Amino acid sequence: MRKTLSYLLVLSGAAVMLVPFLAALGNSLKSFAQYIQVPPVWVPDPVQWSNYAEVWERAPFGIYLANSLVIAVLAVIGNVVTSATVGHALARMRLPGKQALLTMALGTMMLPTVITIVPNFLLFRSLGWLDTLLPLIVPYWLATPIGIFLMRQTFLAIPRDFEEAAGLDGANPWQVFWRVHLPLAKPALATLAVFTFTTSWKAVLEPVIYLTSPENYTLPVGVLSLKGQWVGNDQLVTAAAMMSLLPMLVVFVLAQRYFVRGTMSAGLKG
Amino acid sequence: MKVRMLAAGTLAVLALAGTASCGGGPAGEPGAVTLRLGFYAGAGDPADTLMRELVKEFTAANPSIKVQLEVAPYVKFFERLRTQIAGGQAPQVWLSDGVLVQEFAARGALADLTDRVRTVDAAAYSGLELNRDGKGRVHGFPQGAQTPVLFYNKKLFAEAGVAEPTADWTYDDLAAAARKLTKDTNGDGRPDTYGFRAYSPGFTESWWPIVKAFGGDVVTDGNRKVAIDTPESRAALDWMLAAMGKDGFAPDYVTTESFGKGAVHTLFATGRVAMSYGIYARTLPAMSAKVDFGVAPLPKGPGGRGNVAIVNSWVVSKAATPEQADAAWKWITYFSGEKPQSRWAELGEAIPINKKAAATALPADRGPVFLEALDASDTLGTNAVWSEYTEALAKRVNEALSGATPVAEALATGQKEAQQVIDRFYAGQTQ
Repeated sequence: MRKTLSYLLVLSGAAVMLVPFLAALGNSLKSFAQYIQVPPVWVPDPVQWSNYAEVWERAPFGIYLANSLVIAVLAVIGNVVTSATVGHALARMRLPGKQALLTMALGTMMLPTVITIVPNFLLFRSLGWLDTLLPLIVPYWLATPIGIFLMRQTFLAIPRDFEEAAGLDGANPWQVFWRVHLPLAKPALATLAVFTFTTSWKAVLEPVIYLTSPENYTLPVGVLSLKGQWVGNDQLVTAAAMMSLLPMLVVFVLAQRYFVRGTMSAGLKG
Repeated sequence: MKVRMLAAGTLAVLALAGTASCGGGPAGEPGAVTLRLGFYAGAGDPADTLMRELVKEFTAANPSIKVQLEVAPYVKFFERLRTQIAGGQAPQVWLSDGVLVQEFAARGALADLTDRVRTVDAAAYSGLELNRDGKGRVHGFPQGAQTPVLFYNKKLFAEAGVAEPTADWTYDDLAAAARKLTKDTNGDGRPDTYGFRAYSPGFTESWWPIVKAFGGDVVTDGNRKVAIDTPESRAALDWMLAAMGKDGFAPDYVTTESFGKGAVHTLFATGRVAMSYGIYARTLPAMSAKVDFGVAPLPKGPGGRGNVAIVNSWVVSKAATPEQADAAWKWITYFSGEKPQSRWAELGEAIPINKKAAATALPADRGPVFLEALDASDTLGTNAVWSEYTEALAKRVNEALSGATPVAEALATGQKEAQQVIDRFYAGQTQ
């Protein structure tokens, strides 16, 4: 009985969460006249599959997809590698002022992106990186505050006995990090990878500011670029947004097992 | 080994990402000039397609000029542009919303086009004077114009047996017709069709022209003095409040706001309102939704019709080299020509500023109404802080229209706060 009740609760919660998704799916298959109809209709009639084809006709979505994938994959690699390294150093190594360093890194999380966008623009301009994918990748190779925090917490939770045992077997600090700590941190690494992928995948402000050539656009910029000023093309924008969701969904499903374990253990300290 | 391969692969992709650049640079040939041209449009929209065609024709006729287009949808375009200006990286020529020209100019981003504009036949174009600032300088050349007129749904008028609007209509005539057009067909006590859309978050098609028609004003003295707190403006807002309240022929503030800023302009296209003030571009959603509609001049009030216009304009970056500025001006004069303007008019987005093109390319049933309104129009109170002061003012006016604040109090507060914004910017400035 209790189990049935739990399932019912979970199912009704899931149904509620699905409503916006289903509404968006329905909207992506409407004509413009039906899209703006008041009161709105839930089921498109007729179903306009051609919206999806039109999206591909209007803009080179294959290129946008490739750009987004390149950026997201490199961002994931960069952030996982550097955040794990920095997080490990802050958790396990003796460093003068490491608490202050951590506080400073976390402090940068409080700054809204719009505050730093102009200084960053000037920096990337001086580096000659404007209208390239580099401003959207390289910052992830310098470790992100959330990544540092997540990995530090994870490494702190690993008992010291492990590294002492490895030390007795003759492992140097690098080997302890690589062969002992990193394998134990897999759930957190997966969590960080998913976080980084989704953050990078759905970023809008930075790509809009830094990229000017359509051949360098990312998927969200491509989706937004369909938005007309006078006739909203909202049905096309929604169709494009639905398509852009797919890769993120795949990544989440693949990493789900690790992701859930990682988020559960992220706040624990040994 | 695996790690090394991964590292090598990553470096290779990073290098590729770095070279995927299309940044501006010299055109390469002696005497050649590269022009970065920015404009706003949705990707693949007819405007986007036509602009690219026109640029191709322009560069074919001017082989020494290479044009790099920078296109983005309206909001994103200006978001990027403001950062580009701050970073000294703005395009050499771009299409500006007419209300933002003075904002960019006052911040030193735009070249002064006054001398260049003197070389053209002013009588051949509309909207030139609407771009002139208080000192008589011109920083933008018109690209297309927008001015509100009265849109009406012919089918709903016929069904209600109401005579279509005429140029003689007053606000009393509008109210009388709107009452007859308001219908509650399902008997739930709320109208399904309203006679008129009074309130809109976009004030160009709402309280601004109504205030002026009632004899009020919004800004005076070169658009530096806010002057809305008058009995005439109060009468205008009272008329709107009655339309949305006791007379009930217009959707109220909450109902209208609940549709969202974008959707409010589709109220007419979806047949929820029989009449609405709309700029020229509103013909597009109405036609897309296959509405049988007509347009009429704004009704007359004690202060006239209250016509206002926005002239979207080409502007040239102050940072452009003399060669780039010359090339930019060449583009502007090309785009303003009769042929490109006629082709642009076919999009139905804006009133052509080339008078010959306007006379022939606009639909015969709508064109004259828009052109007459444009000729009679004032600016929309443009100055260097237009976005900020109108935001401050609209916030208070909207409070009045929502019934949250008495009209007199809202206008007094709005005037004071908007004036503070203007004074803060112009304090100590002579220009």
